[in-house]
Amino acid sequence: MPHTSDKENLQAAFTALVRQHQDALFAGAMQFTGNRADAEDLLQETLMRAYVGFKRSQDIEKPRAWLFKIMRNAYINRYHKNRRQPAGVSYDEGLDHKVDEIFSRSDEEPQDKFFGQFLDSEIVTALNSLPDQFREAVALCDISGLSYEDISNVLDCPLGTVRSRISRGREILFHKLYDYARERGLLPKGDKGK
Amino acid sequence: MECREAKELLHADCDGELGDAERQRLTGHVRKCRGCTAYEKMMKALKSRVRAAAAPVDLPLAEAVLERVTGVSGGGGYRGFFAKGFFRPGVFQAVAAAAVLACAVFFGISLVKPAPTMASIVVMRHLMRQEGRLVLDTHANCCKDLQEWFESHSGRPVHIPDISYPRIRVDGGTLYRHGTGNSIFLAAYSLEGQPVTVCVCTGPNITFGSGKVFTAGQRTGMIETGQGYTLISWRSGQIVNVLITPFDEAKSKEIFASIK
Repeated sequence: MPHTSDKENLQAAFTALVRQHQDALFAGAMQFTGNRADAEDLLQETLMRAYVGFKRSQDIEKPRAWLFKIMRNAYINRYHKNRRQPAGVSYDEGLDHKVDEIFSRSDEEPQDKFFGQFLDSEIVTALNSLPDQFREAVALCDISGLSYEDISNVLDCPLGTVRSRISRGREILFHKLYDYARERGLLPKGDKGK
Repeated sequence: MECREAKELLHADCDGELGDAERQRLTGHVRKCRGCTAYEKMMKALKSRVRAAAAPVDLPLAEAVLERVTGVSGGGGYRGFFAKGFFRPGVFQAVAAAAVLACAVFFGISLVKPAPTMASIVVMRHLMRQEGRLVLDTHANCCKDLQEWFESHSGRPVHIPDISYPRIRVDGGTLYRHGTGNSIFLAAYSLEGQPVTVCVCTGPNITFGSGKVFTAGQRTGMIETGQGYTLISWRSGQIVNVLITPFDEAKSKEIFASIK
């Protein structure tokens, strides 16, 4: 059993390490689980597992990627049955047309106006509706701020796969938001989407 | 370069993940391609919007979780049971029964005796359950007084829940559902001859307490003891906060008066 001062040093070192990444971790947990209550549980479980690992070895090369990998594994273990399978999303067609439509308006910065009309919750809901492989990649990049290399470590996949999942994920997300805006009449008059 | 390749590279570029050579090739294509220029603007705006829409980081929450895991307290101390934001909405009666059980155990240990270690809490709890020592005598009069006071104070009837739990008999108490959706159960008991007030709060906006980490079975929570109070927090679906104080009618009324 560690001496008290050793234990305190260990706790302090772990606390310092986690504090550097806690905002990204909580945002990541929110993204994994989709709600605050589960995010709290997932964050707690992640840190508990991480602390156990940290006690064994403090030589962690990439702490952020390490923490996210633990979080993802904890998430998979807990919610494995509910994991969404990679969907055969058929969104290959029509993206250019939709982008063109938004840019055909005479507004300045039409892209900002387009995305600015959504509530935060609508954006998050759309993101959560992506198949896991895309959602994870986009969230780890855009919300948690991980590098492609770190995402590759967390998701256990090659860099090229990370790159394609991010680009594909954002495109699907754009389609979903566009279609949502179209269904609810959120697109400004003059836009005539398919 | 084809547009399809350029589009994938555009994402990597806006993420700062593109090497010089690839960026040069990409720039050459985008300059000449109106479609890819629009696509680039759209995807950059999407990235920014997603980042902005992500849940705001709740640093106090992350701090609290960190404290729970390491046992290192931020030293904030007892911030006050009546503090704004303490109460938020929730599920209740089943939690209340378990809460009363936990309260009784923790009260028995942590108010009467010096602060215990986590291991001793778990062992003691187990032993007390086995021995059937957790038998609470309801202070019926106290509950009735509180109920009548609250009904006259609020002008509305209160529900007396019928809560039972193995080896514990709870005959009364006052359940109050706050307009915010928070639920508050207030009751007076005697525990081993000592009258105590137990106040259990649960709801979606309740914040986790601070103090020391305890583990009971699969649950991890926080327990904080101070002059005349014990505050216990754990999660049971939602956050549950339990305040145990020596019975004090005036204090109990103050609790209800503070949750308007």
